[in-house]
Amino acid sequence: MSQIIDLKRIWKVLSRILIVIFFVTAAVLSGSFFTDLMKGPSLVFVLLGGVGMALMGFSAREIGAAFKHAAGGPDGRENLQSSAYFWEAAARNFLMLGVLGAFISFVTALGRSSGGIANIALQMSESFLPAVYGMILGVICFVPVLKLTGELSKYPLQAPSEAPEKPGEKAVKILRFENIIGYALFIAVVGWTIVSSLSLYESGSPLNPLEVFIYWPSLLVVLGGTIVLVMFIGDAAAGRSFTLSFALTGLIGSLMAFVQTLISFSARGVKDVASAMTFVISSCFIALLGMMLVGMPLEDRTIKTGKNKKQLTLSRIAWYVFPVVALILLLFAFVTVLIPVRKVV
Amino acid sequence: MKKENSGKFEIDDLLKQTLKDDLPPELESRMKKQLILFREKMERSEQQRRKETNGILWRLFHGEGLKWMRWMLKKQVLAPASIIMVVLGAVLQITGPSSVLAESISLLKTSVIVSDRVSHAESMECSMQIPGENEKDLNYSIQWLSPNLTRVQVKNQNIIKTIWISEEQITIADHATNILRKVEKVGQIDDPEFQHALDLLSPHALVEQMEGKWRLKQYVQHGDCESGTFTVAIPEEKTLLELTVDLCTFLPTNFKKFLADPKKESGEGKILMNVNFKWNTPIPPKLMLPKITKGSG
Repeated sequence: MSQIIDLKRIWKVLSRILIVIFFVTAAVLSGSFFTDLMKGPSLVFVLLGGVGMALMGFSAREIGAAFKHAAGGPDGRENLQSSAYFWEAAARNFLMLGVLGAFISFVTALGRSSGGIANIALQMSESFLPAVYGMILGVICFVPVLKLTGELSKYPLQAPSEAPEKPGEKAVKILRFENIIGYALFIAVVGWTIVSSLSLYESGSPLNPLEVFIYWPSLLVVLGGTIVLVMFIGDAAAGRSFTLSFALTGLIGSLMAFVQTLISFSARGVKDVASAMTFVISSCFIALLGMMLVGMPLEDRTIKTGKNKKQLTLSRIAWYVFPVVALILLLFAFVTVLIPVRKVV
Repeated sequence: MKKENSGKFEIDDLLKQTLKDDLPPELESRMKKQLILFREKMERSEQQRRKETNGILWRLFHGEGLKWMRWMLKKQVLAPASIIMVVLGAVLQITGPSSVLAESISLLKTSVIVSDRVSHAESMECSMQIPGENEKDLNYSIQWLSPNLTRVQVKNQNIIKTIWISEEQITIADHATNILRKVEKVGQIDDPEFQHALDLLSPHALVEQMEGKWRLKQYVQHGDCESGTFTVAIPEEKTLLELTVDLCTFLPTNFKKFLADPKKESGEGKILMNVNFKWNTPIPPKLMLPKITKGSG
């Protein structure tokens, strides 16, 4: 009897793999439409970055359990809940990595300014591809969330208990070996992407990544604002305050610079428009990087204990709203650079 | 007494009977020692594991040499410092410091506007000089009467040639030999003197060069609304080009072509071409009437 069930499960998995292979083959054979949308380095950036971020926030055992649960392995309510959270975090990470990748590609295309206007415009358009990959991978990771949430509904609801901190709970907050590997992988992927893309500068010496990516006014405003907010909100070790503060200061900074861009369009010159747009791009980039490097891994490591689960709503708003707003602002920057308007009046 | 409690007591009695506390004192002390040793071993391995993962971080934040870091993380220091950071950032943004990214945006945006203005130009008149050997410079006069109507005249000590380009036909006149001929396409113009002027035959040709072939390298702005200079590389010709733009009209006023020197970012070598532009000024229509009667069609 159990052999029949196993065969059924294997057949189910194989049929799913075949469907995926069918779609990929169809996409490859469909010609230039999909090949235009394929950019290997961007896909590798999103995938490796996603692996790095998963390791930053979760232990190897938790990741393994999440995969097991997604494949249909039975377990208790608590474990299923943790696995559902892992997949949600993975989806969020891919979405944010896609947007971060878009920012890196966009800034690189602008900073290098290699080729004619047509070539730069093409590079800037292609910079939105990582965001597409991030969204696709995010949706794929969201499927296990839906599945596990469905599984969870079969278990009886437990009354929320204000349990005292368990002896092992502190250990969760401590960095594990795989967490350190995750940080190293994430920093290596982002750093390598920035340095390698800027070293492709066609004529002259390679550009200094710090000069291109760090715009001091926005760095000071976002970091200063974040520290103030974190002190005000408190509980920095939980990570939630970092996530919210980076998202809020990034949003405020970029929106202020957005208004400055519009004012410069109508009353000032190209130089002021460029300065304001640099602030918009840089604020979003620093806030995204701060959220991904500091806020979210801390949050992932503490949230599993159940202590912060109730406060997830605000974090979720920060996770999903800020990257979308940042992407819209990047689109605005793209249009602003390429439309030939010097002054509205 | 409840039924379940009576069961518990029965088990207790059974345990007391089977596990009697009658060990010899020597054996008891040895057993206690073993238990202590086991507990210590477990604790040590746990500490070792923690030390391995957090050793570097622990040393970073608890080391004697980094007392200043702990002092900096105090609220009394952090709060004013972060407020100063925000204010400083805002002030820096208002005073407008230069950054590589802002300069790139400025370069790209200005070139996009220039390209747009050139493509919408109604008329243009420019003089072009190509330095030649033995003072045999070629002097060109190029006029765009409308986007589809162009006149080019080239002169030096031995040559005077004019070319008229309209939508219907292209007419070439050699004034020295009084020969007039017609061709259908720009690609059929084979006179070597006119090859230098092919990029300036129409707004469309110039914009195509600007958007496709010119590689933007540098942009320097002089004054608020005075002029700006682009440095552009043309890799196919291995030349550099300096394009000066009027920042009020965003139209080019001059460009100079140099031989590209790999050691220099901007061109200061031998001038290959010098062009001066005048935009949107009325051009006398008589320039478009060829007066030569002799020749072949």
